[in-house]
Amino acid sequence: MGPIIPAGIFPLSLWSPGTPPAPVIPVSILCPELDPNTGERRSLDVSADPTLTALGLQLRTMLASGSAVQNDGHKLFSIRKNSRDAPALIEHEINRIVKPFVDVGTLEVISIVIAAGPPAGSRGSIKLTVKLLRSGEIATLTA
Amino acid sequence: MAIPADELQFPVRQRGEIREEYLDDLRAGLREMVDALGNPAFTDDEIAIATADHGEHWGRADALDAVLFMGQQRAVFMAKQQLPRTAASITLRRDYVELWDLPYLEASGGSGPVSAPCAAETTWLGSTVLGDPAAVKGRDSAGRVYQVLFSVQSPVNGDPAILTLIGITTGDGSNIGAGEVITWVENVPLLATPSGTVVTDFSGGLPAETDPDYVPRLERRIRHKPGAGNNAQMRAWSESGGKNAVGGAWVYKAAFHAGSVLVAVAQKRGSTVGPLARVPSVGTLTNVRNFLASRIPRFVRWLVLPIVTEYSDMVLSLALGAASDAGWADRQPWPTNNGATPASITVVTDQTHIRIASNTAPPSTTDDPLIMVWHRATSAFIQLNVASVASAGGGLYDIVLASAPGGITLAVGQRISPFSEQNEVIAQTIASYFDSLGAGEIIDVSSTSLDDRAGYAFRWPKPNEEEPQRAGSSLIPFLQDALGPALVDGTIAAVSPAVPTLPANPIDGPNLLVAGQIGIYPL
Repeated sequence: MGPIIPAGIFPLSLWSPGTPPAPVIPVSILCPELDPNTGERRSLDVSADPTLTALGLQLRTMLASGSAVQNDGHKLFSIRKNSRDAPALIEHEINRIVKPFVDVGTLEVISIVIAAGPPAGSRGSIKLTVKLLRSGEIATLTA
Repeated sequence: MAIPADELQFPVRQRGEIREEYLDDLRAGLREMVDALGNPAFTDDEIAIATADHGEHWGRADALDAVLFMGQQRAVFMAKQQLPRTAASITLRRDYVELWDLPYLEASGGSGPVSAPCAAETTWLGSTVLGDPAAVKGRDSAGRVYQVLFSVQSPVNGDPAILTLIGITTGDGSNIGAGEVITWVENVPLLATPSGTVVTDFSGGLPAETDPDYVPRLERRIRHKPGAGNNAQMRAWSESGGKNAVGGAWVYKAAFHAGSVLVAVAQKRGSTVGPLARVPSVGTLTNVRNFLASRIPRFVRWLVLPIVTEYSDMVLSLALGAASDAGWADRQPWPTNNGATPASITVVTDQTHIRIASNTAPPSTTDDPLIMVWHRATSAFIQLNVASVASAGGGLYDIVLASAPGGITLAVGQRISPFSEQNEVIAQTIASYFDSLGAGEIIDVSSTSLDDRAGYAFRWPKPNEEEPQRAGSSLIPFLQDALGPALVDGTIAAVSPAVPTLPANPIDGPNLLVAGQIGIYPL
């Protein structure tokens, strides 16, 4: 027989909760990190540079491909690649896309390398190198 | 027609409003985020860049906004279909026509008299049925086909027969002018000259009914249900019987005695100018009569009459800017009216020398004030090319014109106004104002009338409900709509008559006010 416990007291009466664990603060994401080619979200807790994400959005969306994208996207699909005009037209289109970002001072174009025209056949490729002025980071996008 | 947003029964958002709300919420959310140490996770600068135009978040919000906006526009479109006045053409033609059993009116053909030389006592067969194989038919120079409306026998003395023709070909083009040659093509009587000549301009040829014409007719149909030969039924029959040529029909029940009914008909203006455009052509009246005859029972005494035009003269005082293309052309507009008395021609020596009365002397700064004269037959102002003005004493002025005006023969009583570059707009507005008026009464229906029919034979629809009879100050809002802010103020200095006079006998038909002599002067 153990000691006689006073009336009204139970073993659980003596339990104390202790220190609660620190709450898990959700990761703060300014802008989701997306795959520039597919638009898939790469990670739930990695934040990407918003300007780079925006540029990715513009380069992977075809302008006016749906009724909700009348203001975003590129018109590269309408350029005939296998022609001598193609490099100039593509460069003009890239400049048009980056202009809003250059205008507000978030971006600086370092180089646009275009492989298109008769030697490249019916396809073209772009290597766009930009400097994100806020972070100073230099990023390269291909399309 | 656009509906003001507050008249719609649901809130309407502009394109981009939802996007901005979305981004505002996002910015607020990002601002509250903290890092592991409890400090703000992002600076406002970073948030601004992340939610800037053409970014990932912005693109998502914009796409959402676009989808919602398009859904909303469909709802707005549907809401507009509720009223005929705002409904789309397709809804009117597909749904309202079915719902109210009120089809659009067909195009109508012009009608008028043609002089047809032929041997004495030649019979020309006519028919009121369009396309009747027995009727005489002819073509004009453009190939439009017309048929003789009534059978006519030419006079014994060998004069040409005067035939009334109506267009089988419809539309504006069938309103051919006087002098046009009609070549007979079918059922030509023996010993007739192969062609005839149009005596006076044809009228009543109109294209098929348009939505702006259909909607008021539909609204009248909804407001006053036609049925069992009531007033609305008489009007609906009269309006649809003349195809698209009927511009107004007014019903006077018990016009002659109990059980009788009089319908007065006016024509649509179409492309015709001048105050007489609303007088129905013979063809229009015949179409209406035929249509009514096929529907009204035998025991009813009914009569379809054309309206009788009555000229209403006006003196308008308009506060327009001087020395302006939007107002008076001269710095000091001249001549001027003396209250209700307009400046008008008192003596015509010849077409370049006239004497006019004016309340004020011409400005000393110019020898040749810019003036214009009202041409009543076409309801238009015509500019006069003044060479010099000299006072003849007593408020009279001798005007020498550098050249005789074209399109008008100057005559005593014509009204002279200061010239305005806006004269065409003003003249057209005055014409369309008079077009909005309806026919007058046929008997005295005032409260002091001793006529037993006074309580019955009033005009239907009543003038306080639609198509007023009285001309007057309601012209000013018409002018304000047409001239906009250029017209600061305006008054009617004189209008005579303001109300159509009663005909001597109801059988003469009601009078309808049309634009008479008009003078416009600075206020």
